[in-house]
Amino acid sequence: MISARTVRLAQLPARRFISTANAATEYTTLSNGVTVATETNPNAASATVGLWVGAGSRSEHQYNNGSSALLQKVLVAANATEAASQGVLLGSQTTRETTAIYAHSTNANAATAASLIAQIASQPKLDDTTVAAQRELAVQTVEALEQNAPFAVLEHLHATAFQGTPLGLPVNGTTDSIPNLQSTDLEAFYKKNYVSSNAVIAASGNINHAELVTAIEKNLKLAADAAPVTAASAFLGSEVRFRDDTLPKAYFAIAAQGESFSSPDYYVSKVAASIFGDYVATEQTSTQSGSKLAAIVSANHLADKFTHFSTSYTDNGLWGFAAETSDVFLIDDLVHFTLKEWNRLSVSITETEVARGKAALKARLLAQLNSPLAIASDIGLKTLALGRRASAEEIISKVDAVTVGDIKRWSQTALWDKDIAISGTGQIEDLFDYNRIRNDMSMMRL
Amino acid sequence: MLSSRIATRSFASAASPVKLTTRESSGKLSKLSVVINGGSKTGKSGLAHLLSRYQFQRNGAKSDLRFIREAELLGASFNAQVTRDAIVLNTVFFKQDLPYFVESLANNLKSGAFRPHYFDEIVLPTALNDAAVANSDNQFKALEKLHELAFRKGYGQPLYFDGKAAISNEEVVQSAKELFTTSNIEIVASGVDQADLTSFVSEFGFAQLPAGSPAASSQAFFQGESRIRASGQNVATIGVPVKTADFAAYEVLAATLGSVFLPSAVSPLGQIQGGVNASSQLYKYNDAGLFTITVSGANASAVAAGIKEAAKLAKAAPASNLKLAELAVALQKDQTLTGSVNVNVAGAEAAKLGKFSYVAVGNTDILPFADEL
Repeated sequence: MISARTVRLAQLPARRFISTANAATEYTTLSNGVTVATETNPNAASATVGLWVGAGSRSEHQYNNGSSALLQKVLVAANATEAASQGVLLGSQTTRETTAIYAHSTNANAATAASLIAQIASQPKLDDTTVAAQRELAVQTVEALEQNAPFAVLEHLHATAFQGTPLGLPVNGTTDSIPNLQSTDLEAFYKKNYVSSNAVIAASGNINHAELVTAIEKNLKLAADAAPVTAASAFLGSEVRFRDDTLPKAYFAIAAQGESFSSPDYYVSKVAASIFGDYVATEQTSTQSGSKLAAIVSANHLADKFTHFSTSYTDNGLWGFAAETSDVFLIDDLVHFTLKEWNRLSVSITETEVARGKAALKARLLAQLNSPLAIASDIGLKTLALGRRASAEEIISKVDAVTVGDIKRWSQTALWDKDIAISGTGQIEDLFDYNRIRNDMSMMRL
Repeated sequence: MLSSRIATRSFASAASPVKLTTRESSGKLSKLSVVINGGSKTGKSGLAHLLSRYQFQRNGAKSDLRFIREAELLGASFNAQVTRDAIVLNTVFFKQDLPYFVESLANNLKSGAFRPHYFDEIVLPTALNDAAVANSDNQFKALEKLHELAFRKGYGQPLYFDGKAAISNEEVVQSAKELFTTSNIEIVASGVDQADLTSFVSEFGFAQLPAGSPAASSQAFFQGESRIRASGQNVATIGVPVKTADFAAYEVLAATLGSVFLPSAVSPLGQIQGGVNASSQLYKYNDAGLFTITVSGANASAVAAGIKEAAKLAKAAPASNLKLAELAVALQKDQTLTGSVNVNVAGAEAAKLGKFSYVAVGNTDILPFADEL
C-alpha cells in the first residue's frame, strides 16, 4: 500500500531540519475586561489590528437583519478619511456570529492603527447621512450577492437548515430589511453587543504586543456588561429551491447537521469532509486524484466543481457539499454517487483515504493563515468562540490522532440515515424530490 | 523588532548551481518555487503558456499520476503559472518533505517526457480553457490590449495561448531546451533552511541542467488607442509604460489617486459617482512597468463620465500621500512571494501623468475616445 511514509522513506535517510514553530498567540486582559490577543510574525511587511465582537447576523431578528454588517460599514465610511491621513486602511468583516472592524498599516504604524480602532469602537459616529449612503450601498451589495449563485445557494442552505432560528438569517441582511434600518437601530445593536466581555482585540504582523496593549488600554472604552445570550439554533431536515432555467448551470448544496466549534468531533468531521475535498473538472490534480468520488465524477462528467465542507458555529454546524454542473441531466447521478460515497464513511472507508484527507486538511488549515488579516481574523474568531486559539502543533496533533475508527463512529451517528438540508438554484429540474435524496443517506446493507 | 524590512537573502555559490533566494517564514509549511526566466514576453505568442501547462507531467523518473497521488498523501499542493516575465512552478508542502520536492522539480526540468499525446489531450485543452476563462472578463481583455498598445512586442504579447496560430509540440520542446538552463532559472523558497536547500539542490540534479545563458531582454515603449465591442461589463482604461527606475513615483501616484490595493481608503478615484469601480495600479515587471487607471461598471454612460473624471484627476496631480503609498507597497509584499519587484517609496514624489494609451471595452457607441479625455 502506498502511504506518505513510504513516499518519504524513498528519499534519503532522515536529515536535520531547522523547523521554526508557528508563533504562539500572546494574550493580555485589559483592566476593562477586553482580551488583547496577538501573534507576532517577524517576516510580515504589514500589520492588521482589529476589534472582533461576538455578534453577527445571528444576534439580529428578521426586522433588523443586516444591522451588524451595516454598522461596520458605517464605522469604516465615517472614519476612512481620518485613517487615510494617518496611513491606515480600514476594513470590516461580518459573519453569522461575529463582526469586526480592522485596520491595515505598516508595522511601524501599528500602534497608531490600534489607537484608531479603539477610538472608532468607543465613540461610534452614526450620523444619518452616512447611514443613508451606506444603506443604499448595502442594498446594492445584497442584490449583487443574490446574483452570485454559488454564494446564494449556501445562504439559502443556512436559511432552510436553521429555519426559525436566528442562525438562519442572511449575513448581510435582505433587500426588505436593510431599507428600514435607521441610525437608532445601529445604535441599539451597538449598545447591546459591544460590551467588554463580548469583544477581542486581535492583531498580527511584525508588532510589539506591549505597545498595542498600551495604545488600546488608553483608548478603548466599552461598557462592562455580560455578553448577551443568543437564541439557540436547531437543524431541520428541509429543502429550498429557486429553479431558474436562464442560468447556465445547476448549483446546489446538500448538508447534514455538523459539529460545533467545541464538539469533541470537530476535527473528525473536518477530516471526513477533507477525504472528498474539492474537485475542479478542468484541473488534472482533480481528475487524477486518488479520491474514488473524484474518479467517478471525472469519468462520467458529472460536475464542473464541487467542494465538501464542515462548517462550525458555537452550538451547531453543517457538513456536506456544494456543487455546480453544466451537465444538468446528470444531477441525479452526481447526488446518488456522492451520497453513496458518504455511506462508505460509515462502513468501508480505508486507511489510505483517511490518511489523504488528514494530510490535505492539515496543509489547508495551516496554509490559509497566509496574511496578517487571515491570522488576526483566526485569532478573533477562535478566541470569541472558545476563549483560546489552538496552536499549529495542537491542530496537527489533533488531526493526526483521528483514526479510521473515529471516522466510522462519527459518520454512523452523524451521517448514516440522517436528515439533510437541500438548497439549489439554476437548472435544477433533475435535482429530484427530497425523499429520493434522503433515502441515499443509508443503504440496505452493512 | 519594528523594522519593516523583510529578511531575504540571495546567493549563488560554487555549492549551488542555480541562484537561490530564501525568505524566512515561521510555520510548518515551506514554499518552494522555480522561476524560469522567459514568460509570455519570450518567443512566439502563447508558447510560454503551453510550456507552463506541460509542467508536472510525465518525466523520466515518474508519471504525472504517480506524482499527483504522492503529493496528495504528503498534503502538498503545486501549480505552474505563466507571467509576462517567467514560468513559475509553485509547490507548498510540510517542512520535512523538502528533499522530495527539490528532486521532483529537478526531474521535471531535466527529464520532461513531452509525449505528443499529452500535448493534444492535456496541454492544448487546458491552455485553451485558461484563455477562454480569462477572456470572458472584459477587464482582462482591456488589460491585454493596453499591454499590446504600450509595448507591442515583449510585454505586449498575449499572456495566454489563444489557438489563433498553431504551435507544435516540437516548438514547445525546443523552447524548454533553451529555457531550462542553470543560468536562466532561479529557486525562490520560504520557510526552508538555506543550508539544506543548497545541498539538496546540488544533489538532486539541478547541476545536471545545461549551463546556457540568461535570456536577454529589453523593452521599447509605444502609445495608441483601441476600442473593442463586447457584451457585459463596460471597461475604460488608460495606461502609461513606466521605466523600472520610476516605479516608486508611480506607486505613489497610484496610492494617491486610489490604489486597487487600498479599496476602502477615501481616494479621489473612489469618490467618482455613478456606481462604477475606479482604481489605479502599477503592474511591475523585470524590464518595465505599466501604470493603469481603470473605470468599470454595468452602465456605459457612467463609465464614460467616470473615465473622463479619472483622467482629469490624474492630470491635476494631487498632493502625494506617502504614508498610503508605503502601506500599499507593504500589502503587496505580504501577498506575493515570487515575481514581486521590491519598491522603496520613501522620499518619492508622485509621477506626472503624460501621454497615455487608451482602451475601451464594452458599449463603444457610448464609451469616449482618447482625445475626449
